[in-house]
Amino acid sequence: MQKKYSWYSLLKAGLSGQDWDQAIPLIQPKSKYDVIIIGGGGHGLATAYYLAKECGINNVAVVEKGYIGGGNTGRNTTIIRSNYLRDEASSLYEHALKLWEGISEDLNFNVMFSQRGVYNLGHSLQNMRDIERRVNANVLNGVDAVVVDANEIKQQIPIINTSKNARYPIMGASYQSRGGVARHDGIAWGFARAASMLGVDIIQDCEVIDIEVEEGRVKGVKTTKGEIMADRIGCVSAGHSSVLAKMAGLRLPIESHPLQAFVSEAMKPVLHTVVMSNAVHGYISQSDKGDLVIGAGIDGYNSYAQRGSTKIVEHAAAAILELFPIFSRVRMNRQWGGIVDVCPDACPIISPTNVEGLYFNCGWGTGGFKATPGSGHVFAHTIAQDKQHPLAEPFHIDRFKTGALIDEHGAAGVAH
Amino acid sequence: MLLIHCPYCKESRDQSEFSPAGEAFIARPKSPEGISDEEWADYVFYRTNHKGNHWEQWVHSNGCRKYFLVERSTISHQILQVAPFGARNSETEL
Amino acid sequence: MRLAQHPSHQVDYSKSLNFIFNNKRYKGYEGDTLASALLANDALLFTRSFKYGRKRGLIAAGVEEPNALVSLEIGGRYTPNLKATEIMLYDGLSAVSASNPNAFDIRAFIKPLHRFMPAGFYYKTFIKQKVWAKVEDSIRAFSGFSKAPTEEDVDVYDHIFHHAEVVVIGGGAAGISAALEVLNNSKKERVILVDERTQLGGELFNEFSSDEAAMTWHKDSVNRLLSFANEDSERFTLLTQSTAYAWHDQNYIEVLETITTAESLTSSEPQKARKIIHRIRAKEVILATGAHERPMLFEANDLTNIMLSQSVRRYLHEYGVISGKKVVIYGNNDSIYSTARDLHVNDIECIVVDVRSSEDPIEIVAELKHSGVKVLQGYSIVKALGSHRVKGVEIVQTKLQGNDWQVFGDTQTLSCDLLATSGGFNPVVHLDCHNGAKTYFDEVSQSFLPQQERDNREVCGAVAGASAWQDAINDGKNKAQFTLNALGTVSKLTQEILSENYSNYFNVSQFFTPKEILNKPKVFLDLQNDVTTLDVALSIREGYRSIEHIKRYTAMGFGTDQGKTGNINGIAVAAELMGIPMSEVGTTTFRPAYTGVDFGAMAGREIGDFFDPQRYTTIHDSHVASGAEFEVVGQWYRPWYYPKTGENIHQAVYRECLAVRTSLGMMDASTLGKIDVQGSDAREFLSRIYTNAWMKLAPGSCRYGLMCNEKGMIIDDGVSTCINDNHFIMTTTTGGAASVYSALEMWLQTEWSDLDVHLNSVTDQYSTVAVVGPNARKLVKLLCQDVDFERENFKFMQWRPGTVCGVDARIMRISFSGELAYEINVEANYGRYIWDQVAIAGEKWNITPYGTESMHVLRAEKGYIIVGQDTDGSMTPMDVNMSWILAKDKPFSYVGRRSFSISALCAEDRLQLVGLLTKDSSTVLPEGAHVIDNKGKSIGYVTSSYFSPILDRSIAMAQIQGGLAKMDETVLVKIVQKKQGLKEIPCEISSSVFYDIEGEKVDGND
Repeated sequence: MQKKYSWYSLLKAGLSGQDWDQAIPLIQPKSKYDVIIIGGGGHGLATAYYLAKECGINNVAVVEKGYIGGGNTGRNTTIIRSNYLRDEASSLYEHALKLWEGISEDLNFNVMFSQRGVYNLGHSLQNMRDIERRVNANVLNGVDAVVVDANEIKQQIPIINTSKNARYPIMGASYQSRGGVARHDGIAWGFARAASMLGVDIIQDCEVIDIEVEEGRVKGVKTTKGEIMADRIGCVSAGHSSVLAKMAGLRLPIESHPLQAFVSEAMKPVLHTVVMSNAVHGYISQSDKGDLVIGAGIDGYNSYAQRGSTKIVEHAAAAILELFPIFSRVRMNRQWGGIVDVCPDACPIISPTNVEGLYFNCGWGTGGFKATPGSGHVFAHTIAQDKQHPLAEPFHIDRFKTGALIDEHGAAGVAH
Repeated sequence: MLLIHCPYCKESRDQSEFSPAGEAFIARPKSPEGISDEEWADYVFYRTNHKGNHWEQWVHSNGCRKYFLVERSTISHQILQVAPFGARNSETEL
Repeated sequence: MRLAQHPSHQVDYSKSLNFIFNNKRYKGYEGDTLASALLANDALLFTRSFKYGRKRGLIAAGVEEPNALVSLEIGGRYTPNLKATEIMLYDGLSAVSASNPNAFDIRAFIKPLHRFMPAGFYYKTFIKQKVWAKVEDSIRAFSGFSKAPTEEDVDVYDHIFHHAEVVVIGGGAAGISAALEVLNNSKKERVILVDERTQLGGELFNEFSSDEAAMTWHKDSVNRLLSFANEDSERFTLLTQSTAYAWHDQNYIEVLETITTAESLTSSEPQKARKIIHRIRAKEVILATGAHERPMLFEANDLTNIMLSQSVRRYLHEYGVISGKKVVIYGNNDSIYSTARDLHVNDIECIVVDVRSSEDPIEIVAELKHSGVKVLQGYSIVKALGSHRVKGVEIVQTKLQGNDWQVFGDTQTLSCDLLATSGGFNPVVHLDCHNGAKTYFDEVSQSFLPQQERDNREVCGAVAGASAWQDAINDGKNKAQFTLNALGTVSKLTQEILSENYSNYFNVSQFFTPKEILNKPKVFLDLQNDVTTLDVALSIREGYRSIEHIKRYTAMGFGTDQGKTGNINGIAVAAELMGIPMSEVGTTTFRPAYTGVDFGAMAGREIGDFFDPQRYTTIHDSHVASGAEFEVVGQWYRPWYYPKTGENIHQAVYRECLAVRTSLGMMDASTLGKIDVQGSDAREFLSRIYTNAWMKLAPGSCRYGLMCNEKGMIIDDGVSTCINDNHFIMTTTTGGAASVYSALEMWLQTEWSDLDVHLNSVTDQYSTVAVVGPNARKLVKLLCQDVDFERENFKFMQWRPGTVCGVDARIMRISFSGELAYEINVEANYGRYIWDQVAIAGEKWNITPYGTESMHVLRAEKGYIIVGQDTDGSMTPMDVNMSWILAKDKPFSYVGRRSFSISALCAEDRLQLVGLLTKDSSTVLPEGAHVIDNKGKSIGYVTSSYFSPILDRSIAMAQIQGGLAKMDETVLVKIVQKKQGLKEIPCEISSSVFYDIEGEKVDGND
C-alpha cells in the first residue's frame, strides 16, 4: 500500500495497479472525544489537523453532515490574497497566506496553490484613494502589495479593456503577486488525509441535531449517528452557524446569504492571473482545467438554499464583459451558490462563547477560503488553550458589545 | 428570482422591483439610554437568522416604495404570506 | 455516407451548402447539422481526448455529445467549444476541431506513462511549492478545449420577458400533445412551448419509416400548433431552437433562443440579436424534456464510430446519413431492435448483440431473425477492436444470476465498422432539479426519475418514464389535464390509458457492470474528461466515496456535456464497486445551465453604455462646451475641472481656486441629493435623523446636519432648508442620495409610522447653480431683482424665494468654500439657461466655472469633511472633531447616539481627523500615505491632500490615532511605494481649518 505521495510511490503504484492507501477512511464515531469539530469544510479539517499536529490533541472527531469539502470550501472561486486594509485582518490573512505557501509540502498533498497574482481594480478616484491607503498599509505590515496604473495592467493582461470610454474605466489596481488560487477540494482533502494520519476521526454523513449543554458547559452532541461526547466543541459550519448556535441557546451577529459563482466551458489558457473588481461586481480567474471561474455578488436576503437571484449572476456576466469584452461568445457551463455567513463588520468571529467549552469560528462572509489554513491554525490554538490565539484576539465576539469592530468594508468608500 | 406579492399594490411582481430590508420584528429599543451595551448590541447586530420560515422586510423600491412584511422559507424560498406594516408585530401575533 | 434518396424529414437535398472543417472543403445540405454533414462525408474524426490524446468521433446527435467540440468562424464571430451536433449548417461555414485529431499529440505519444497517471495524479505530485510554480503553466497548456476568442463580439443579445399560465418544455411527442391539450381545453390561458431543435418532433422522427401513424399524428399536431401560433399569437408562443437552461424559484424559467441565421453571420452589420434570453414566469410548468440514451460499457468503448443506437437512427432518419456499412448493435433493451430494423430496411448489414437472454421473445426479434438479421441474445461485448476506428468487437456469453452478471464461454470476434450501443435511458431531470427537487431511482426502468409530486409542475413522456411515442402522447394529454385542473379550467379530468409496463417499455435490464469489464483499462465513463471505471474504482478505494467526491476526484461529469450520457453509468459503477444500491449513491447535484449560455446573452444589452445608467445634469452640455473633464460620482458625470488650452489638472485647479477666492466662481451642484420632507412632524423627524437640533430652525433658514447610523458612524451630511414649519428640503451627498432616502423611508415606515412625515426624492427635479466668491452678491443682484440681498437682510444660512432671469427660484446662502455663496435652485429644465445667464452676467468679474477637484481644495482649506473620503464608515462625529454638532438635550435618542457611549467609541487612541502640514510647504503628500510612529508602525493615513493656491502651500487632512490631542506634534508620513520615491516626510499635526480661521470671508464684498 502506498501511503506517502512521491514520485517513487507513484512509480510503485503504477506498477502494482494503483494500490494507494485510503486517504479518508470510512469511520464510525466513538462515544467520546477530547474535541469535536462540527463541520468538515476546509476550516474545520484544518482545525482538527493543527489540534493533532501542534496542540497534542489527537482524540478529535470532525463531524460533517454531508461529504467533506461540500460546503463553501467546494463552492467558492478559490481566490487567495492577504492584502486587507486593517492590521488585524491583514495579519490574520497574511498568517494564512504564509501557511498556504508551505501547505502542500506540510500535508504531502498538492493543493495546487498557484501564486499567479491578484489584481483589485479601481474605477474611480475614491477607489484609487482607497487602494493607495490599503497598499501602503500592506507594505507597512510586510504584506507584498503595489499600486499599478491602467497601462501597467494592460501590459500584464493584454485582453483587459482599459479604454477610457468604458462606463467605469479602469484607473488602476492594487496587485499582490503572492496571491492566487488553489484547488478547493485539494485543501479539504489534503487536511482530511493529513489529519486522519494523525489519528483524527473524520465522520461524514453525520449531522449534528443537537448540542448538549449542562450548567453552562458543553457535554457533547446528538447526531444522526448517535450521541458523541466531548468537553470541547468547535463549530466551524459557515452558513449554518446560527443554526448550531441556536442548539446551544445562543444568538450570533450573523446572517446567511446566498453567494453565487459560475464557470465557463474550458478553453486554452488566456487569463494568467486573478482579476477582482468590487466596483463593477465581478471577479475572475482561469482554472488549471481551463474554465473561467467567475464570482458574483451576494443576494440581500437570507437563505440556506444554495441558490440566488439570476440578476446577480447576469450582472456579474455583464461586469466581466466590461472588463473582458472578448469573452462574450464564451459560454457559461455551470452556476451554483453557497451560503455565506455575513458579519456586520465583514470580519470573522473566532471566539469562545458564553457556553464553556463551546467555540465558534464563523462569519467569514464571502472571503473565507483564503483563510483556511490560518483560520484552522488559530482556532486550534484557541480551543486547545481555551485562550485566544493572539491573531484571533481582535475577532472575539465581544467586539459587537464593546464596539471594537474591525470594519474591513469601512474603506469601501462613499461617493460624494 | 422570487415573485413577490406587494400588499399595497396588490400585485405579484418580479423580485427585481423590490429590495430586501432585513429581518422583521427587530424593534428599536424605546429608551436606548436605559439599556445595557449588551442589549443595545443585540438590537444593532444580533439576528435570529432562521433556517426555515422567516419573517423579513422588503420594500417595493421600484414600485410604491412601501415597506412590508414577508414570511418566506429560507430553505425553499417559497413565500408563505405577506402583510403590510403594522398588521403584526411579532412572529406569533396574528 | 448519405443514403441516396432517403426521405429525410430534416434535410432539403435541393439546397447544397459548402463548408470547411479543419481546413478541408465539404458539401452538405440545408437542414444538416455540422455533425450530420461530416458523417455524410465520411469525416469521422473530431478530436483528441483531454487526458490521453485519443482520437475520437461523434457518439450522439444532440446536445449530449461529449466529443465533437469545435470552434466556429474567426474574428468577432469566433465561437469556442460548440458541439458539432448543435451547429446548423450554412453556406460558407468554417469550423475547426477544439483539439485537432490529426496533429501530433504528446498526450498520445506518452501512452506508456498513462499507467502512472491515475485519477488524482496531480494531488500526489509536484508537492513542493517551488516545483509546482515551475511546472504549472506547462501543465495548463494542455488544458481546455478551443482557444479563447481574441476579438470583441460583433453581435448583440436581447432579453425578453414573458408571463404564461403554462409553459411546456420539450417539443417531442409528449410536449406537443400536452401543449395541444391545454390549448384545446382553455380559452385565454397563455401557453409557451419551448424546444431546442429547429423542428418540433423530438425522437418521433425515428418512428416515421416504420409507423405511418406516427407521421400522420406529427403532421396534424404540428400543423395545429402552428395555426395556434399564427392565429392566436396572444395565447400561444412557439419557441424553437430554444433551450430552457434554468429553472429558478417560483417558476422563473430561462430560455436561450438561437436566432442567428446564415445571413446574419456573413453580413458585416449586425442586424438582429444573435441570441435572446426569454425569461418566462409561468404559473404551471409541464416538463416533457425526454431522455438521453446512455452507452454500454466495455473495453475501448471510446473508439471512433462507436455511437449511441438512437443517435445512429436519428442520423439515418433525419439526415439520411449512416457512418458504416456493417453495423453491430449492442445493448440491454428492446430499442436496439428498432435500430436494427431501420438499418436492415435500408439494406445495411447488421448484427444485434443483446446482453439479455431470450426468455421473453418479442415479436420484432422473430421478424428480424426471419429476415436474416443475426441476433445474439445473452451475449456481451467485452472489448472493441481497432486502433482508432472500431473494426470489430469481442463478445462472450452473458447471464444474469440473481443480481450479478456472469460472463463465460469463449471469446468470439465480430467485425464491423460501426458500433451502436444502448444501455438504457436517462430522463432529462436537470431542470426539475435546478430549484431543489430531488430524483429517485426507479428499479423498473433503471433510471433516476423526477420526484413524483410537485406543486405547479407536471412531467410527461420519456422524462417521466413513458418512452413509447403513443404512451408519450397519452401521458402528455393526461398531465395537461392535471395542469388544466390546477388552473381551474377543467374540473372533470379525462385520462388516457397508457400501455402496461409503459415505464419500462424497452425492457431495460439492470446496468451491465460485471467486474470482468470494470477491471479492464480504458472502459470510459466520461469521454470528454477521459474518466474510466478504474478511476472511479481508485477514487472509492482511496476513500472518496460520495458521488460528489467521485465526481470531483475523477472529473467525471465536469465537461461541457455535463455527463449527460455517461454520469449515470458512473453511478452504477460506483454502486457496484461499493456494493450499495444506486439509490444510495444518488446523483450529483444538477445545476444550471442545462446547456451552455453565452456570457453575451446573459449580459444582454446591459454592457457598454448600458452597463449602468449614466446621469447627467441639465447643464451638462454647457460643461462639455466649456471643455470640462468629468469625474464619475455614483452614476453621475460631474465636471472635474475645466482645463483651458494647454492646462493640466493642476494648473486648471490652481486658476479655478484663486478665482473663487479672489473674485467669482460658479459650480453645478445639481447632483447633490435632494429629499423633500413634509408633514407636521417634519421637525421631529429631522431631529431624530440628524445629530443636531431642528425644532427651532425658522422658516427661511438653513442648517447643516450630520447623519449617523445606529453604530454611531457618520453616513452622510448636508444642508437642510426650512421652507415652512411643515416643509423642509434635505440635501445629501451625491453618492449617498439613494441610500439615505431608503434609510429615511425605512425609519418612517417601520419604526415611526406615528410620525406625520412624507418623503419624496426631488434630486432630478431641481438644478442648482452655485455662485461663489467675494463678488457673488454683486452678481445675484444683477440677475434677481425681487430679493433683498443686503448682508444683514439675507444672512448666511438663510434662503429666499425669488425670480432669477425670469425663473422662479429658491436662493440659498450656504457655502462649501467659506466664501460668500448663493445656490440658485430652479426647476431642472431651466438649469442650463440659468447657468448660461450667470456665466454671461459674471463676465465682468471673470466668473470661472469650477469642478469637483477645486471644490475639494476649497473645502479642505476650510476643514470641511467629505463623507466617504475623510470618513470611511468607521468614524464618529467625535472622531472628526465635530462634537459641537451633537445635541445634548434632545428628548428623543437620535439615531446613533446610544452607540457613542460604548467603550471602543470613547477610546482615546481612535483614529481622529486632523490637519497635517508638511514642514516643506511645497511637498504635497500622496493621499493614502500612512503616518507612522517611531517604531515605523502606521498610526493613521492621509485622507485628503492638495496644494492650496491661496495659502501657497500644501495642506492635508489625516486620520491619526488620538490625533486631536496631538496638536502641533511632528509626525512622519512614510512613502513606501517606489514610484512615489521612498522617503519619510516630516509634518506637523494642526487644526484642519487652514484658511480664514475667523470665518470673515463668508460675507464677501459689498
